[in-house]
Amino acid sequence: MTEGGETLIRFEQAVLPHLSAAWNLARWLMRDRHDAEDIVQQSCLRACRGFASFRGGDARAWLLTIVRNACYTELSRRRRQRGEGGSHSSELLDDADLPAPPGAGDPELALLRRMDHEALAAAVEALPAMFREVFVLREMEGLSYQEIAEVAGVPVGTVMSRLARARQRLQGALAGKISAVENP
Amino acid sequence: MDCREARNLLDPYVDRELDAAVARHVDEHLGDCPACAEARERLLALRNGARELRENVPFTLAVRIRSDARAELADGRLTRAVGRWRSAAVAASLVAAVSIAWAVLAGRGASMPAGGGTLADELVAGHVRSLMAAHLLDVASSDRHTVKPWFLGKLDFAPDVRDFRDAGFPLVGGRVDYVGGRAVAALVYQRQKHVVNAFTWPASDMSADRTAAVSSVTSSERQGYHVLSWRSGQAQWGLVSDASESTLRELQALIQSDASATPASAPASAPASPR
Repeated sequence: MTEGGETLIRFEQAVLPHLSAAWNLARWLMRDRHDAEDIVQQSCLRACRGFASFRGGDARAWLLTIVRNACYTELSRRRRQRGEGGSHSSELLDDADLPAPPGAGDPELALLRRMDHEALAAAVEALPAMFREVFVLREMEGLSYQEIAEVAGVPVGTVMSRLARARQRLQGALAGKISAVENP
Repeated sequence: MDCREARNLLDPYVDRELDAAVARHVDEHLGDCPACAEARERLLALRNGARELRENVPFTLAVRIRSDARAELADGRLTRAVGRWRSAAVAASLVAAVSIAWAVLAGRGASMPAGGGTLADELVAGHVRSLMAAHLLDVASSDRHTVKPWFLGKLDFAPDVRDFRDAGFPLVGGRVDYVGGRAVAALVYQRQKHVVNAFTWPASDMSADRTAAVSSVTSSERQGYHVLSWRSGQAQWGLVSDASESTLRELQALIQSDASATPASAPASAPASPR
């Protein structure tokens, strides 16, 4: 077997099982499936080229980090193209800038259980990117706080607060009591 | 523990990130406090909703990425020279090879001998070996008198090879493939724009009547491909294609027609009757 063949086998076994996780993260970060396809395809090529230096460990976190960075790079590029600034874009929303959501009360459980998937999808897409990514990684991909912290490049404490706030906003959006995107 | 503290801990609690002792305290509070228990239920309802939104990678994207990986990592000179349809068909047929293994093993009466290791190990090993073979066709010919002998010496059985071009399923060629650790014959048929892989291997169910009539056909779908599988006498068959199920059933009927005829008794030039 050729050396290239061995590398391909290792890549197939280690990295490609996480293709759906990569897709799902890109889909929700880019909020567009065509963009997600480009991002994932480009990220996997990058993963191939960097695979020689991958020394084992969590291949899913490794691939997701590549995908996440590719998404943010592209999102930033588009913002620059549109002439928008960085820090006051609602996309990024530094935690410090964000006012606490009003105490709108807890949405009714019955309401949440009659889950309107379209409404939830819209509410997830309406979350600022940094809240959206931790919610997607936790609830759809099942990553631990530590794993999310690795992928997102932030401390676990930040993961926890963003996740809690993402959940508050989503529940509020579903209950119709607060809008998921704060207007600063 | 009071409600305020319980609410503060509720997120890591539902995420199973709490220390066991602390989680127990939250458990106890939730047992006594309907309001906080309802807050937990709200989080779980949100989670269930989110899980429904999770998407799997689109099939066509996965195929492209696998092709890209082969081109980047393995010796891809030959692949890079090959046309786009061919490499898409190669990738498609190879993913189909994995799909058929899944479908057959999940179905009733499947007789697929298990190799060592788990099913997943076998599928991956077979998949990767077929990647290294890097062809849809090892023998490209519509002539059964070329294709069938080609399998001699490569397989421990003689597959039933016939060309059904008059019925709209021309034989394109064949290759040896690996499914579940077992070498199988893959006969490649074309139906208009669709590639149909017809996998066949000996049925290994020793207790069954080996001359029994055709077993009932199992039909399934995996990742957008249709799969039909059945046993006929001593042979197990699996058809995989992106063509419709009714198309596959047509081919299944053709394969079964005159299936017991031996090569010696069938005139070499007789066409299959049109359906």
